[in-house]
Amino acid sequence: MMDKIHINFRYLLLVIVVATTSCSDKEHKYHSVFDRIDAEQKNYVEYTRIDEIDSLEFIKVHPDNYDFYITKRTSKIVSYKCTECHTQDLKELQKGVKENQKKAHWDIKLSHADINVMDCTTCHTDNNMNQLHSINGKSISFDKSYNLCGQCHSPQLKDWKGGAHGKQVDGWKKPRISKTCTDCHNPHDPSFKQRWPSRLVEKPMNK
Amino acid sequence: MKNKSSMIVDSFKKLVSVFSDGEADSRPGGDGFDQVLNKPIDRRQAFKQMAAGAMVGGSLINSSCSPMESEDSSTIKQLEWEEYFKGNYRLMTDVERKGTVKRLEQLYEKQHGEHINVSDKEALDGVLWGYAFNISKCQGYMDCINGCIEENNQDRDSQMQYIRMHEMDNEKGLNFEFADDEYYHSVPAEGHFYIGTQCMHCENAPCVEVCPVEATWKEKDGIVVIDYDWCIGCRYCMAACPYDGRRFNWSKPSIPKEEVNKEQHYLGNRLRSKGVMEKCTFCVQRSRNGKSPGCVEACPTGSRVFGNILDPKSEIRYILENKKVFRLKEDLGTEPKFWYYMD
Repeated sequence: MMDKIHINFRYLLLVIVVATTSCSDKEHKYHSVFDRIDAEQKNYVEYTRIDEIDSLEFIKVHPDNYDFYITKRTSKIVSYKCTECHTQDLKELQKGVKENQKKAHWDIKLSHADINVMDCTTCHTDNNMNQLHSINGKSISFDKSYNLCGQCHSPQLKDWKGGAHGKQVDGWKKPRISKTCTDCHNPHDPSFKQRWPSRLVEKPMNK
Repeated sequence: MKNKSSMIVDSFKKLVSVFSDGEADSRPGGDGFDQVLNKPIDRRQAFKQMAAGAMVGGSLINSSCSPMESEDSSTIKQLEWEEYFKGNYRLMTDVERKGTVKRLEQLYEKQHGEHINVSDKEALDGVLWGYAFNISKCQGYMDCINGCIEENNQDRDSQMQYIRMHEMDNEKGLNFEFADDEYYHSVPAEGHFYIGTQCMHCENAPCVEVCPVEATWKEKDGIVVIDYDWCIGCRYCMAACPYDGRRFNWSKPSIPKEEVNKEQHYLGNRLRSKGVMEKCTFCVQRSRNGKSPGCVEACPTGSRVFGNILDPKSEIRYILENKKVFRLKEDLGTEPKFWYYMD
């Protein structure tokens, strides 16, 4: 009788050992990738950039609770500041073009919303060409165009802040650097254009 | 001369090990022949191997000791020889890894006269790579494919590409049966959307399971990689992959010398040979150095997002938590780390 019980214990022990060790395969520790994220994000390590961020090229912004860098616009506009040419207010210029007077920005065709909704002065400030302004007239820097565009494009602004819209600059390390609206969209003609796929145009092949 | 004779002795030892048909000693750290040599064999087998070894060794002496050969070509031969008998990358010690990386650099320099950097950088701690693709934003421009090919030294002759672009009809929805993979017109075409596929770096990767020689595995940071020198080219993994993420080199890949990307990684974009598998590695040579993969960098629309999914403040986590995301063939349980989302 004693012997029989003893053998049963042995089997029980075997069952326990098999049950506890068979699922401990390290490769398949998690049921799904989200389980792995939940378990391992405690060990998350933040990697920061080694090089200092160039303040001439990038500017730090803090929309909502986010904290990141965006590319600077003013250092890229060729003839910034605008007032170096625009000595007259836009209102003065709009009064009528005098004879023989050269037209500025003749090549810009506005193709952004309806002309009844937007014209040059919806964004450009007529008495200070170095600035943009919001719908109710508050000044906005050329560098922070997201404040201007986001007035109408609020879902895009929300996604851009979070990182679902727009494009990362220079890798994934912290602090994050993002492209700003005008890096990808021409504000005067913001939609992406139809074109031939680049893979079919300039195939990197053996010539 | 001393060098050469010791090399031959070395080679002989290695040859003997090649003919032993026993199981490899899986002790991590043993390089090539150590992995198979350090095991007891009986006398009969030992004689058999020695005879076979002597035969091959003899022919080797014949070829390598010829006085006509230049210094350079004999070093190349020696390097190639050592490369041929190295072990599985996963079992190598740090010293052995440094050694093979060094040999690859030397070989390229000797053969092509230019210096390349081959890295053996390990996975970063606390990192799990994830990727997101915005199907609302992609315009089908294919800049990603060009970026990928140039970054990863893919064969130009066969026009190999890791990324495939599918043109989908809005009315048919996300149905790959009606996808046009070979569209040849301006994009975006009216009434269509675009979706790119590549290796999804599955958590439960079926390709890894089927490899008979363990030449492919999942790294600590979640990417699935291949040891090109351990791959036997059986293409089981290609058949096992439900996403058509793997490519096979039917011929020796050819890349114009001036287009070779010289910043390489052992598990990434280093030059492959004929008869081995390759695939997307999320550009391991870039991502482990803080950069984004070549496709992400090349995309002009910002449809491609890459990052650390363990980082709660990363862009990719924002997408996973705030956008409508899905993965392809989720029902297979492969748990790909490649998500699609829409605006």
